[in-house]
Amino acid sequence: MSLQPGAQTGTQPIPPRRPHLLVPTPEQLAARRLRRRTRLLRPAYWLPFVLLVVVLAIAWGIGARQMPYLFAPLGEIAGVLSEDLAYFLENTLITLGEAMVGLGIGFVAAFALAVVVSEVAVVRRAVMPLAVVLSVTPLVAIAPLLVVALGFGMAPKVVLTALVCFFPILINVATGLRTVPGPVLEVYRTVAASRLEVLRYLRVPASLPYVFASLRIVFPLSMIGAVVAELAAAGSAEGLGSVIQVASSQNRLATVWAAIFVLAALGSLLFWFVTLAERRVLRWHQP
Amino acid sequence: MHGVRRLYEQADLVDLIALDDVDLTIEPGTFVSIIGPSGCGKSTLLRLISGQESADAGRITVCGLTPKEAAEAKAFGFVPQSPALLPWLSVLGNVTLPHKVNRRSDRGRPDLEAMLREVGLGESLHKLPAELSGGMKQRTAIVRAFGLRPDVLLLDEPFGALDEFTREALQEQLLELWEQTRATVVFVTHSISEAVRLSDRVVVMAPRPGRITDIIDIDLPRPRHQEIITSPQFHAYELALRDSLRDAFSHGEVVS
Repeated sequence: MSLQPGAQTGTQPIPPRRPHLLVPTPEQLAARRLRRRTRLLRPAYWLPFVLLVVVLAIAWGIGARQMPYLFAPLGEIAGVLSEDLAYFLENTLITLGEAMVGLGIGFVAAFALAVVVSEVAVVRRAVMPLAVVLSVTPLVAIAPLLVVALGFGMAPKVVLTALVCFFPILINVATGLRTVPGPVLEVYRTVAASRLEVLRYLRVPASLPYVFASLRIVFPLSMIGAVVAELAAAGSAEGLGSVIQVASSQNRLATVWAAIFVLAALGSLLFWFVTLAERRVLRWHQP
Repeated sequence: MHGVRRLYEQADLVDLIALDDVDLTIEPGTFVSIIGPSGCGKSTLLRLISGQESADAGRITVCGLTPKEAAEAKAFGFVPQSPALLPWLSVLGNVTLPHKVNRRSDRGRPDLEAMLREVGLGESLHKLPAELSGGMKQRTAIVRAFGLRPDVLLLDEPFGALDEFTREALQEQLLELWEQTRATVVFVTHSISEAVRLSDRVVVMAPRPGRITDIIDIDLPRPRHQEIITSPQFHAYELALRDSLRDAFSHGEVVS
C-alpha cells in the first residue's frame, strides 16, 4: 500500500461500491407499511387509557351514590345530553362565539402591542413589567364588575375573554419577535434592510413558535373567560355558563355535569385544532 | 481606511482599544485575508467596513462612499461565522431573500439556482436548513453573499466550524466563485494555510491594542488548486506568515 497521493488510481481497478441502503422486498415493504398504519390499533397504545377511564367511571358511580349532591350518575348525564342535544348545541355555539370573538380581539391587540414593544425600547421598559404582573393576576375575578359596567349582553363576556387572552399573547410574542439570532440580523443589515423589512421577513416568522405556544395557552383560557363571565351574569339566559348557573340553582345536577363535559370536549377540540395548525405551519421548527 | 480607532467600554468602565491607528488600503478586485490571534479586532474591522459600527476616530471609505452609504447601495455581501440561515426558508428561499429587501439598490438577481447547483446543492434547492450538513449550510451562506453581486465580500471565519475535508472543498468552491466575479474579498481567518491558499495579500494583526503589524503579499499563480498546498513556495509562505504571527504575539505580550 502506497501513501503517495494518486498512486492507487493507477493500475488497480476501483472496487465496486458496497450498498449503504438495504431496500426491503415488496412483501416486506407491505408488511412494514401495514404495521405502521395499524400502530394505533394495538392494545399497548389504547389499553392504558381505556383502563383508566373505566376505573374512573366506576369510581364516579360510587361517588354518585355516596354524594348525590355533588355527582350525578353517568347514565343520567348521557340521557340529558342526548335528550336536549339541540339546547346544548345552541348554548355551546354561543359560548364558543363569545370566546372566539374575545380571543380574536385580544390576539390582534396583543400582537400589535408586541410589535411596538419589540421595536421601541422605551415602550418595552414601560409595558413589560406591568404585563408580567397582569399575566399572573387572575383577571377573571373582575367578571362581576364587568357585568355591572357592561350589562348582561355579549359585551362583558367578550371583554373578559379578550383581557385574559391579552397578556399571555403579549409576553410570548414580544419575546418571540426578539429571537432572531445576531448573525442573521447582521447579514440583513449589511444589505441595509429597513426595520419594516426586518420585521416582516425575519422577526415575525421567527416569532411563530412563540405565537403558537401562546395560542395553546390562550384557546382553552378563552373558554374559561367566557364561561366565568356567563356565570357572573346571573340573569343572562344564554351560553353554557348560564346553563350551569340556572341548572345548579334548580338542583339539576345532570345538566350541570353535561354542560361541564361539553366544555371539556370543546376545550380539547380547540387544543387539538391549535396543535394541528402548528404542525402545518411550523414544519421547519424542531422543538 | 485611515487612522481608524474603535473603543469598547468594558464592564469595569475602562475603554478597551479594540482597534488603534489602523491604516489599510485594499485594492479593488483583490483577495485579502486578515489573520491574527483572537481579540485582535478582526471582526470589529469587518463590522466597521460594513457600517454596522462606526469608528471613534479615523475615516473609512468603500469605493468612495462611507460604509453606511455603501451598505445602502448593497455593495456588501457578508458571510458570518455561523451560516445564519432562516430555518423556515428553503435553500433557494434563503439565497433569494436578500434580493427582496432594500429593493431600490438591488443589482439584479443572477441565476441563483445555477449557482447553487454549481456548489453541489442542486438536489437540495428546496430542502430546509435543518436537513443540511454544516458544509452545505455554509455553502448556502456563501452563495447568498455572492448572489448579491457585491463589490466587497466580507467573510468572518466562514469555515471555522467545519472539518478539514469540508473546509478544503469549500475553499476551492469559494475560489471558483470568486474567479467568476472578481469582487474584492476581505476574509477573516485564523488558519495560516487558509490565508496563504486563498489570498493575494495577508494582513497580520496583533491584540491589545488591536493593530496591523505586517502585510504579506502572496505571489502564487492562480487558479490555485488542491496541489498547490504541497508545493515548496506555499510552504515558504506559510513559514513566513507563522513567523510574522509569532512576532505579533510576542510584541503583544511585551506591551501588556
